[in-house]
Amino acid sequence: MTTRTLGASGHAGSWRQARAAVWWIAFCSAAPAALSAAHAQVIAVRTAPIADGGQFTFLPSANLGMGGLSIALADSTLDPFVNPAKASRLRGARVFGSPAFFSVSREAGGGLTLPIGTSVSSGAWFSQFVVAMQEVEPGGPDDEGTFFTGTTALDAGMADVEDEKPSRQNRYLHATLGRRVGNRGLAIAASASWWGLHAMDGVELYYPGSQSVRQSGDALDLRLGAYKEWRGQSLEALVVHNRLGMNQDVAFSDLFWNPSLRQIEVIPRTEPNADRVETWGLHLGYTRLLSDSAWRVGGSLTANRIRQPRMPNYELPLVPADDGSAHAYNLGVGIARTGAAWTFGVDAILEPIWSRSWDRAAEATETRTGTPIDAGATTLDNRFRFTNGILRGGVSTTSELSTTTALSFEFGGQWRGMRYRLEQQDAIRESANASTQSWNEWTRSWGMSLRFPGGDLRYRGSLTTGGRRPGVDTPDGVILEDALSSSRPGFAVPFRSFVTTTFDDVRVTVHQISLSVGLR
Amino acid sequence: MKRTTSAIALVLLAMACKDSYNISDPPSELTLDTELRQTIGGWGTVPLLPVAKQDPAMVELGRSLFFDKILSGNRDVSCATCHDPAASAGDALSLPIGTGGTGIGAGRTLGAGRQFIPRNAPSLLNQGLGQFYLFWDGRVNEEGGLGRVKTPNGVFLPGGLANLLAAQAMLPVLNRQEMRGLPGDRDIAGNLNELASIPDASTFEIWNAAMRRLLAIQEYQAKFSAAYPGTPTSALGFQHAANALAAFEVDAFTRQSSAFDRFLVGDSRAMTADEKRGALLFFGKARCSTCHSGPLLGGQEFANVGAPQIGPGVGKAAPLDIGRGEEFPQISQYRFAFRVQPLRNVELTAPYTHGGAYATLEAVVRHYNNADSAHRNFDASSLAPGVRELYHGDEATKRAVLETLDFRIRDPLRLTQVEQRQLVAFLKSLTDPAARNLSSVVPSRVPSGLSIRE
Repeated sequence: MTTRTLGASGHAGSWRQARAAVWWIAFCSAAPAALSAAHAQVIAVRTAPIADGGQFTFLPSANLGMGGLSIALADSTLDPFVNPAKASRLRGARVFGSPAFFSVSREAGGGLTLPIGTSVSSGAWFSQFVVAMQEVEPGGPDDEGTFFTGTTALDAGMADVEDEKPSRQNRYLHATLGRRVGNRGLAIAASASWWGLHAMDGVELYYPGSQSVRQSGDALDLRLGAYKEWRGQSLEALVVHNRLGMNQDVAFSDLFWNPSLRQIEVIPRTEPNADRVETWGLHLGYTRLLSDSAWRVGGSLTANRIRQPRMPNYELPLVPADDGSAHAYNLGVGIARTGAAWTFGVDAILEPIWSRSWDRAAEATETRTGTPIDAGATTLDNRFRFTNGILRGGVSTTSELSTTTALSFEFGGQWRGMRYRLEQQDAIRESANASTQSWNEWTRSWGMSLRFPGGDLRYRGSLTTGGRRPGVDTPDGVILEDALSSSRPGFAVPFRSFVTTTFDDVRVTVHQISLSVGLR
Repeated sequence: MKRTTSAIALVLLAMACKDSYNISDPPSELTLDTELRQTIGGWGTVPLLPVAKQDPAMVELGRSLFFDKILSGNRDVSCATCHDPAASAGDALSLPIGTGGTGIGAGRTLGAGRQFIPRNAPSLLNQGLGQFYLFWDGRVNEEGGLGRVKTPNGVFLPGGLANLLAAQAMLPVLNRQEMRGLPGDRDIAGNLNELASIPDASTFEIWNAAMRRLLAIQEYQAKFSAAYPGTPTSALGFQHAANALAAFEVDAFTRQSSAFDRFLVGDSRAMTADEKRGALLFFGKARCSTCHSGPLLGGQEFANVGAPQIGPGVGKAAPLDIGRGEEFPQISQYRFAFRVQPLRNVELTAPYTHGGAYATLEAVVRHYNNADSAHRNFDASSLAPGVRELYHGDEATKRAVLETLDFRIRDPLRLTQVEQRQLVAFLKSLTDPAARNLSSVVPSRVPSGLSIRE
């Protein structure tokens, strides 16, 4: 909870408590939507254009090159991870590997993931197993924050921090087990995905001025799905439970004026933060062939109930909150045409979201006009109303190279438009205000596939613009020693004072290569 | 189905045609916080650590000395006379009135044959936060390095002084106008003022005489013994008293928990929107931070801000006061330059400028908004009688002052009325609420038995 005080009548409270959490970043950076690696069923709530780095876009996807079409056009490789019951469509046994790379421009993040997996179908039963190792690069320059020189106090303050090298590796396990029921095309399956997490992409950037962020935690994604196909139609249902628990120990080097020593002193500080997100989701999907049998249409409905009982105190103070919740919906329609040489598809999705976050008084305080506020009472109420939209389109062309080999090229794109209205009520200031924000993100995607006897080799790539990442801006050539020598003794202007937080446009690039081979 | 799909697609396309990122009506205070933190960071204004805990015995000795008029030659003024806790450790006067005067605070009047002390008595609030210059002209300083105290010409300090504040405390007892008195003065009991009869150059003799007064009182002997255990009475010098005075001043007058200080350490809600906007002006358009920067928002340089010339004058330039230029006549920019005051609790330390020209922060901001015009058109009628007559408003003086006016304020700032109000709001956010009432630091009595307040 946060401490809020006002003016002369207030009392200081704990400034560390008072540092507010940020609802939007909590959802953006640690969103279970990203963790699920199956972006259609867990809805991301984002209130700023923080770029999703594509950290979890590594499971093989046939449609990634076509803008990520998912409603009317089946994604033969990704769908089984989205709805485990769809793994019933896989036959025989296969192994696959899909190394994936992602990078965010301006040195704002990047990483490499190496997943390998297998799918086995035998009789009525089918299963999938995947393991993955991931290495994530820290966002921002490596030496960010390690530029203090010049005084013993500063050097001593830095020493402890620089020795810390937090792990940047994540582990991923996935298992699916399902069964076909009867002979009427019905399958049910359950899947579990577990992440052992030490690095969420870009988290360091949310703590500008920090020396390091030691992350640890895990995430669990449980899915229970059903899928039925009959006479050119398909129906699916899915229940999702997704939970994330991350701890972030953020090391800072705070600068203070020490009256006794009469110099600016660096004091190391570690601030523990926790991020807890729980999501329950229900997804329904339906597709059917149109009469000419080359066109397929589909629709989907997803509903999420999201709770975030703990939020990290990010250093970007935007919308203060202790915790929050959201109801998010995703209504989509799609149409696709699959021909011998050309495949084409379009998805259109509307995402209405109602989200609320709030801030509570850590201790008794009072309003601007002196009205008492009890400890635990809500002091700030943020209500968001989103109207997001997604439009995807893609095309692929296939050339038969021989009777057993074929080469395909895919192109596509996605537009994602976010728009929300925020209404805030501040009990301490006895004020209310409203604001509206919107932004667009564009993704271009491309791909190439080579199908050969017994397997296929795919390359997929995407480039997303419109997102931003927090960063820091420092002038060239300024070090503390310069500042020390140019100022009155002890009144040096410290280097960090020149650092300003920026919010930069970035490009997110994802490359994925997957090789799938059948086992005889 | 086809029509529904087309309709949704059209709606989505329409949304896509909007700006790529549109902050149409951002939450203004949230944006303010981010902007302000970044702006402040550029000026080295970092939070303050607490001052070191002072030795209680030293503080108690210092408290007695601070309020005891026995340190003045005529036993009629104490440190508290010009640094009155009831007046925020200042005296609420444009120019101080030293020994021989009557009354306290704003009602204090000159004694017969006495004159005003040439410069405004600075508040002692937060003087213990580690400044490198003391006095309006910075004549006591450590610009040569920590522990290398520089003092006015002709004054050699004894060793053993704890800090700059202690060094400063050695000086008022030497000053005839402030505390020592004039030759031939008699104290309030009618006895000859023995301190005043000592030649000015015999500084150690003056300090020794003051110590003899103190140590003649048994209670002071006990307090010195408690503060300096193991130091024989015969080894005590006035530097020991000065150290105790400094310890008391640090303990009693350090008030550094203002709304701005709470904002600095992360409490974004400590300041109001107006205060934040004022802060942005302070660190931006109004150029205040070009002088009032660093952890203390000032205190580290000197500037000629075009303050009106008021007072009897100092040194060779009298009746004018050329400030730091008196010590550095070869440096033209120091002519009429005075120390840039640290600003915490500035709301409480009126009147402002070295001559106490302005009674309110609003007036000070108006001055800076157009320093040239404000100096030329200063209205002396706002000054108290007695001080008003010491205003040097002749054209030659005005020209002389404006000739070396600091380059940063030569051009008008062109602040609007609203901006001026916001700037004042920010300056008031520098007030620690605990500084508003300092009555708790006043003792009930002092060892000499002299009255604390008249």
